Amino acid sequence: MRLHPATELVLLGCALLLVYGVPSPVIPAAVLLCTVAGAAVSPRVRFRSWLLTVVVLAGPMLIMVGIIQGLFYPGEQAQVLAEFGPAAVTVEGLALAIQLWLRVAAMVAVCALFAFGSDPSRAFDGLLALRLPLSLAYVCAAALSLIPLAQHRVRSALAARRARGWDTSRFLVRLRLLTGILAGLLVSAITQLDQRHDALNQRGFGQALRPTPAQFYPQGATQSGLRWGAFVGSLVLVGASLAGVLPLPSATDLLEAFNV
Amino acid sequence: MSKASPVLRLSDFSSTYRGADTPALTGVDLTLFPGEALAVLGPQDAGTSTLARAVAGLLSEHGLSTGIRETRSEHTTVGMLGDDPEAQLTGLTRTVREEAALPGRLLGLPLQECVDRADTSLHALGIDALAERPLSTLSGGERQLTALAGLLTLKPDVLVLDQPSQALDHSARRRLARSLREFRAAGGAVLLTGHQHDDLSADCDRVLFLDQGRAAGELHGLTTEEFSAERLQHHGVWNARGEPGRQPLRPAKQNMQLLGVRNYSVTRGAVRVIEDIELELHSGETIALLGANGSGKSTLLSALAGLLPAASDAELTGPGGIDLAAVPSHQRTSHLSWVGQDPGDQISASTVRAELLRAAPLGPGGRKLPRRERVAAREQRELLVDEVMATAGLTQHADDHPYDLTPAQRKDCVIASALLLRPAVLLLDEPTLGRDAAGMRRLSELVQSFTASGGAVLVATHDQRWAAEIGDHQVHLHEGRLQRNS
Repeated sequence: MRLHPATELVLLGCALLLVYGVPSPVIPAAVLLCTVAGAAVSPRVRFRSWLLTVVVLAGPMLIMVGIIQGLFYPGEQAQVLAEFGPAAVTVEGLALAIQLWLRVAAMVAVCALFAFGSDPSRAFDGLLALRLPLSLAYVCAAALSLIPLAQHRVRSALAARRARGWDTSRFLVRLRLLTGILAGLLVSAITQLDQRHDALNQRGFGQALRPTPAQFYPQGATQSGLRWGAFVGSLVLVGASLAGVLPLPSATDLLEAFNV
Repeated sequence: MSKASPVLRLSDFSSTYRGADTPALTGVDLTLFPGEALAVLGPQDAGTSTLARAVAGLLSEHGLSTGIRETRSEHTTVGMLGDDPEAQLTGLTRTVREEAALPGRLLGLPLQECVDRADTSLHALGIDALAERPLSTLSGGERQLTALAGLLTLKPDVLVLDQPSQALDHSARRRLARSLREFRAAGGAVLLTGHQHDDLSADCDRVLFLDQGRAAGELHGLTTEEFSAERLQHHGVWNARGEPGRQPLRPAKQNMQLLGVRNYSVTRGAVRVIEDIELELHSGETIALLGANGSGKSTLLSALAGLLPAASDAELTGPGGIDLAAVPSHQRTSHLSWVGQDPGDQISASTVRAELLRAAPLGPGGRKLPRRERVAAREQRELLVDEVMATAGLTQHADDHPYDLTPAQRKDCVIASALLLRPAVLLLDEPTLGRDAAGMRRLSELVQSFTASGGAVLVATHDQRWAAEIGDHQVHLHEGRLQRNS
């Protein structure tokens, strides 16, 4: 049985709270693993697309934090593992790089899982069920449809340029065309803005504060309990971590445990 | 039908957009009665779309309006469908049924009632088969009908439709006309605006002509005679229902084959959209490709241009028998130049001249040329740009922003960019959409000058009159297969 979209949103929020609220790489690693499993078994998520998104968005971050924190950690008391001229691999730098990257990767993974597994309609209903104002719910939900729309428009724009002789299979050519394509997208989006605004008004947007949900979602004590349980549980975990009573190892502890 | 109580009235209505020097509408009087349909026709820039927005009460945020706009009561509702299919969808739904049910949901109606109303509207417009289709897979015409289905669920008192039929095939237009008749029979009033006289405007009780924002004449109790070609021509309106005009004399055919298509099939997803197409196009020849929405016209043109993959055994030969099937799309452009439906995909520069200067690469495939060659190529490009702007009638708009042009001129700008490549064959996808009489004349002249200079044109269109006028042959695409007419 699928969850209520509001429950999905609460779980997403709790996952992000835990990832950034608890200073241990165990939590983001656990969230990342759960997300991989979720993406693998979900019938609505194409695992390959999800994985590609995570790699494209979190991959460069791995390289950046690896270089900046792993090799150029600024602390004077850092424990040096190896030196390469001005660069040095330090335990503290590596720990920071691991922690940073795992947080970013977990955030990207869980957000991508939500985006691929949901649709604007579900997100809109979920946000309204969580008592968000109508306009804010619309903006957030419509943003979900912007990604595929932008992909579609960029593909069409590239096809149009291919039809004028541009070899868009070459990376450098695509790079040269990028500014023009993005400018074109922006201008056409602005010119459509009026009509989109009118289209929404014409359909009665704002006339009811709580529009009817798009489908009958699972309701009841289970969904409500799951939402409140996840919310309270996450707050307790973060609070315990801040109070220093959560026995989770830091990245440095883990590196030391592995004799690094 | 009682004429005593109009459902909506504009009196001495004027409107000037913010930042504009001249008013878009001046002193317009208009009255709509329950059960009545009024068509407002005029050339591009006549103010027809502005009048549609005025009637729908959507102008107040965009500038200054004076005069009277009054409805029968404060509960009178007006629903408007704009002319851009892309912008009519809300972005909040995934399928056609969900989109059509959304207005009811936004009003807080029970879900079952929203779905029932949506199904009724979809059925009335003859698109119930699309109910479960994702919106992203719809054609422009199907999007318009989906958006209209959503509006109809709200049961407005007045329905305002801005160029509703521009992306619809003949059969969809007839279905829409029938649906509007039912709407009017139930007491609704309809206002249509546009630049073309077609099946929908022919079904109206009255026609109001606009010119430069002013009323320029009105027809009541319409007859074919009143809709004479001269009258429509006088008001700058293209008569899509008119008899095809006499074709101008063309130079004798040179009979050189410029395009040969054999065993041409295209599959999209798991669906075979194009099936074993055979087609020949010779120098000086124009073939009009007709067919219903979704019959595969755009797919065929895109595939010929190499933008979609064709079946591995498909044969495609260009001028002199050159095998184009294995040639990548960017290298086909000197033989086949494609102009898609949406000029927005192509346009990115801030002036028409800049757009044309940049539209095609100077070096092969977009590679940078050595400096000396680059300078020479740029000089040559500038000369060519002047030439194609003159051909497309854009010289006086060289320094205008492409989005300040009328939609038809934007399309002409994209056609001009195709001419830069000096192709042997032009592939035009729905170039007639939303054109007034002057725009259609410009397009015809452009096509004729291209074929007169030895080129050939394959053009997809829903406009049967223009197809008959411009085409040496007409071919119909039905469920992916070609049927030759003449």
